[in-house]
Amino acid sequence: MLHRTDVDGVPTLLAPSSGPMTAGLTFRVGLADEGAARIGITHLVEHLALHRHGVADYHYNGATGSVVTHFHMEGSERDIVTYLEMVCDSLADLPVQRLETEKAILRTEAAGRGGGVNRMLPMWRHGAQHYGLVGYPEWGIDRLGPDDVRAWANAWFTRANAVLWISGDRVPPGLRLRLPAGTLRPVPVASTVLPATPAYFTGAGGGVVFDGVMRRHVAGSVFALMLERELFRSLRQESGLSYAASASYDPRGDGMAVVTAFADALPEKQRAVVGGFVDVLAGFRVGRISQTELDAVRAKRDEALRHPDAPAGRLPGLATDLLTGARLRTLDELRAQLYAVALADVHGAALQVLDSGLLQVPPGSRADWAGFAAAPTTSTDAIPGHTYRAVDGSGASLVLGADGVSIVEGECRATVRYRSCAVMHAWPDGARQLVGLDGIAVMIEPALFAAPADTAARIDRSVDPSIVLPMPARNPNDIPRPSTAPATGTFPPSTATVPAPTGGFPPATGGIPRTITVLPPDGSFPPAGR
Amino acid sequence: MRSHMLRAVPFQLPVPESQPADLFAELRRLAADAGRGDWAAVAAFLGGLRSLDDLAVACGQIEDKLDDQVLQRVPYGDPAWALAYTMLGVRTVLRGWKIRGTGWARDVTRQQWAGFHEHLNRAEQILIDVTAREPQQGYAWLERMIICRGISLGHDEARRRYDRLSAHHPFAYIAGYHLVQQLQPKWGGSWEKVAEFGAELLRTAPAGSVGLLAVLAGHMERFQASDSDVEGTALLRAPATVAQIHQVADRTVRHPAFQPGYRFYTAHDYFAMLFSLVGDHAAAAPHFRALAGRRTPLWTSYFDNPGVAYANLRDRALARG
Repeated sequence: MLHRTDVDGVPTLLAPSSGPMTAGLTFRVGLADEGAARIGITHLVEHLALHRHGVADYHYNGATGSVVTHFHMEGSERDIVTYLEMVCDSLADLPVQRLETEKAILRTEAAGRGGGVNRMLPMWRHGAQHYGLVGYPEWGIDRLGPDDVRAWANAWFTRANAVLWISGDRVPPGLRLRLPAGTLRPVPVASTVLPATPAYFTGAGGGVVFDGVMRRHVAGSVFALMLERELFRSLRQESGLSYAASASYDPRGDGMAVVTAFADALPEKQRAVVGGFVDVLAGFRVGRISQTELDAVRAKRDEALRHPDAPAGRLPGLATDLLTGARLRTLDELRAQLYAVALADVHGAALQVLDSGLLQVPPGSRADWAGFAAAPTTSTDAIPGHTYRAVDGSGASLVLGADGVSIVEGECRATVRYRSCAVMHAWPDGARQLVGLDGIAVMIEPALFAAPADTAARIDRSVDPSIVLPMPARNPNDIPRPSTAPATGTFPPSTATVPAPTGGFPPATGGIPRTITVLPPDGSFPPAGR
Repeated sequence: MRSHMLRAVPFQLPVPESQPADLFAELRRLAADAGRGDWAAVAAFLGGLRSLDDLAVACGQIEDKLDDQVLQRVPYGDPAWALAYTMLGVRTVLRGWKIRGTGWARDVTRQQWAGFHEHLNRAEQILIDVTAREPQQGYAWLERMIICRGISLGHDEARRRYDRLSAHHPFAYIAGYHLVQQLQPKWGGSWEKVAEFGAELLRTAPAGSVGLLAVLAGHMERFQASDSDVEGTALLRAPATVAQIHQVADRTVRHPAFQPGYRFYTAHDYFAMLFSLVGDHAAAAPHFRALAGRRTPLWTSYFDNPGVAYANLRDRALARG
């Protein structure tokens, strides 16, 4: 059924298909490999590689994921040969003259995309590093030059780091994949910034989102299907609180898998959806799951696996497995495993996912009452160093230390250490925003503190230049100035709390500094229209 | 809120309050069993109660009498497990309130708030577990409605808990009573919401249902929250309100299908006080006769000198009736 061969040293998977031939080239590179200061570089390379093929349509495309990037095409053998050879030739010699145009296209794409409902969970779980980067804007692309993208392509888009997959019974005659040799790259090691789980944070309105991590196992995909059915039954059919409810199971590439669930909420039902969602999760935690439900989702899954197009449909996933060192399983093995899943396995999967869970609740809601710990929005301590008071007398202060910077306001501290700084945005007027690997951001507006004139220069000397993103000059009216009013209110939120002086970020709410980098609703950073 | 003095006759002998254990012999025995720590007897008795209202009244008599250790020893799988763990939750909430105190919110210290919330959160997590394992446990959902108010989880969540309770125990008076509490302005609601809920009950509850008494709770709460006796009484005397009180009476105390159980005295208390307050002492008379000189703690919620108010109103009703 599944055949393995190789084309020009690229491991190749072949599976029969009843439909038209589809072929793809998958590389072991994605957002998780980029680093916060280069977010978007893989996507940019993908765009450049496809440029020569003309305007994209539904027959071919590219997709940049967390740990893999796919190029795929549906068509005749000849079309496929043309497409794949063009992709490889472009990757080996990127059309860098198109760089600025493709950057503009990516910015437009980002402005229109908005992001999925689960966009914020990865950054709250992982911070501004590896698997957390999928939640951040493609803020790295502005600074990238021709040498940067060429070097990225040469390092990652290589023969040893690729898998070719074809739905069909043979490799199209004459296909050549001219790629540099390279090495197979390991997937990043995950780490979490959550000190305790299950945890929760307050996110955007509109619904409740949840994810949790488990060791990759077929019981997880069964659990996700059962969770989706139960959310739908409970929140929509029984209580009428939600319209949409969904859950998915996605292998992460490192032997673990993420189960994600979502339920939307009417504005006046948001807190009830939190309550109902928590109770659905509790049902799984105590093991209130029925054999009837298990049989029902198993039948549904089995039906999908028996579909004539299933062998071909699995190819991109199998390519990912091969690239990430996972064992390839045949459809028969998969179905055997599916039928071996018992209620205890589903319960075991549920417990792993729930124990590591992260819950996003709508504004105005909490989940501490249900046993979820509040995810950190501030740092545990301030950096030792010189303290400079806010000139408006609000009591906030800026600390410049040898090892990093802090903003302190009352009990709240936001600290970024230089050695664990993920990215720094630098404005010509001296403003600096440092984002730590833990996702905590410190925005420094020197004009608001009685700080030395060379503050920006001092910080710049301490930060690795490769993670500095120069920002365009701000409109003078947008540059915060000390308030002339008596200092009775809170510190200007653009300084101590939310990280974007250029606007577009939601304002701080409830007096709780949200120093973790919160993205603007449209997903763009910096704001479009520059 | 103001106090309702209802101009007392100076030398009236106040009528003392009766607890359910004073009114029903089997509840007296239950309290004694609980006092001895005889969980087997307690569980057997409670297991035989058919309505959530009876169960809630009965449990209210013993929640402060049992040891946590006795309740914690009940193993999962035991028929009385959910009851025992709900009672643990209730006791945790009571300890939380002891820390907070019953005074005004503004007088509660930061430490007291923290202790209060910690206890209510802990109780909630015990009860999340109970309702997850046994979604039909009305007693646990009821306590989750009360906690919902204590930790300000909002109307929509309170209503969800009420609906989950009602799915297995439709039209329980005590659930409606707590939803009426939640829907009031003091908990972020409005009198319109209270009235809507009352109308909903009248539209949906079958005749004879004890849950209809929650409509009366709405009227008494409205009276209680008014700025003066004159205003409160005027609200109750609105023709539509009087008609609604009669409507509830027709479908409860005057209805052959009405089986009040341990809510017998509560039902007659409501009608005795409401008909008296609207000035229809003749209509109040049969309820004072049914009460036979007894009154529940309900009077204490609405009158400053409940024993005296009861005696005065009863004497007026019985003199005319």
